[in-house]
Amino acid sequence: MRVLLNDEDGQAIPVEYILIFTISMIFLGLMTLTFNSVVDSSSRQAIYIELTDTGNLISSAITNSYLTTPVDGANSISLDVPAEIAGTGYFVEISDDDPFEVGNKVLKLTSMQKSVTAYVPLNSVDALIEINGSASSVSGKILIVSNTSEITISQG
Amino acid sequence: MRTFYLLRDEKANISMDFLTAVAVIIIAFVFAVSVLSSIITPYSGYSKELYPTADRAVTLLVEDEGYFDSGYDEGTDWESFWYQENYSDIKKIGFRENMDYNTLCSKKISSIMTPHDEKNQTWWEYPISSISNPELDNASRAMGFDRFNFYMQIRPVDENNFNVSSANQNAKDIVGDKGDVVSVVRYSMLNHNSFGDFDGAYLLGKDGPTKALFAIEYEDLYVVRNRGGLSFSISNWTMDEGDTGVIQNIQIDDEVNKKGDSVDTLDMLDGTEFNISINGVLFPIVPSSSISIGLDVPNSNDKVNFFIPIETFNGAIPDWDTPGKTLYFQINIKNLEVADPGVTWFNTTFIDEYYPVKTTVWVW
Repeated sequence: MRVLLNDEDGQAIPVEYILIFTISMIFLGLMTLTFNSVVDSSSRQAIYIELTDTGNLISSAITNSYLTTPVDGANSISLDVPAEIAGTGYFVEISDDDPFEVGNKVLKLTSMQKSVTAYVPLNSVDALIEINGSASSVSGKILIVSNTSEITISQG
Repeated sequence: MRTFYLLRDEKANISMDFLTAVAVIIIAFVFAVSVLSSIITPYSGYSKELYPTADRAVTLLVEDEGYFDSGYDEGTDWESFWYQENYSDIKKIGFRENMDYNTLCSKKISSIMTPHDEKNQTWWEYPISSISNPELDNASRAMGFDRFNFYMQIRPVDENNFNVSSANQNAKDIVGDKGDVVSVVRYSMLNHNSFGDFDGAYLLGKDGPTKALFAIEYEDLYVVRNRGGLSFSISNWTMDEGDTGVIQNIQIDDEVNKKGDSVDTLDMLDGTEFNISINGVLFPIVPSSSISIGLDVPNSNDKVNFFIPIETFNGAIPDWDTPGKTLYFQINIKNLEVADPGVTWFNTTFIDEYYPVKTTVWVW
């Protein structure tokens, strides 16, 4: 320890430059990785919120379609939805995979590239009528067709 | 430059300006990251899901009849199954009366919600603290609230007809400290059933001594719960000319005797357990503990009204509100006649009373 405290030897200037440059590059790399991680996390959160909004729009349209279906006919609603969310398309489907553990079907929206999934409840409408179908957002429209026995979502 | 010189050169310097620059960059970067992340993702989005879910659930609640499927039967009169606590058979709760009339059904509402009848009209709330967890979980599922908590009230629109302060206080007690809460409101018309007047010319019962016998089946007891008791009137009595009829006693029971022509109890209600009035004027029972009424009915068109509060039922027949029960009421009369042997059912006098109500649901 005494040798260390009294050691006044330094590094040569070029060696010092190389050392500091290397350390700086490591720092820069770490900062870049951290920044990308933060931006990616924020991006995924924003995608989730937007998927949830879109899912609520579709779920409300399903509910309204059920309530307005004539007793002797069919009802058809073409719903405008965003074609892309955060620059990537998404997939909409009716799923039995209920994360809320209530035992009802849910509307499942999956972002194609970012692997973000949002689940929106159907509020037990599936207990009143059969609900099926799936669609992608590529066309910007989703078709909801309902009759007295079932509701189907498909590509618009 | 000679390699040997480089390796032996022990001169060094500390680049203070370089270190300062690096420190500033790091501090600026940390600050930017922390501020940016809070700007881009200010919240988790949970509260944004509340309103759409609540809106859809309430819409279905007031515009759909509901549905049950027991495996061997199915239909929209789910309220019978809720009374019997077969919660899992009820797939969807809805308060609409039927698809022909866009009105709420008080029978369905009363089967699950708790009524309050302090004034002219009834208001309801659900859930209350005494609700069991299985019932609440099934109610939440069948109403479509899924993982969210909820509290709801159905109130008359006219605030003069119910106890507003009580309703507000109950809502505040349950919802007041919940943080992120959304509320959804719907206005509807309610069909509030009540029992009408009996025509004295068609009373059924027994002669010698004369008894008029009435009955309510369990499915109609919601009217009693909604009103805080049983209220009914009789007019157009059948009596001999010149005679004065007399209302002598009242008896209630959940069974009839073997002959089926009178209640299976000797107990009679005393003056503290009911109210009786004639032509709108309250008739006092003196002394109040007496079981003998002694109300004179001089004219056939005199209208006699009876009111038996729920507290009397709770005391005389503690399990009166049990599924499958039928309640019997016997009025012992003198110089008044019954038409035929038998029992007069209360549901033969059903009248519909329509008034606007406001359904408010709080979800968090």
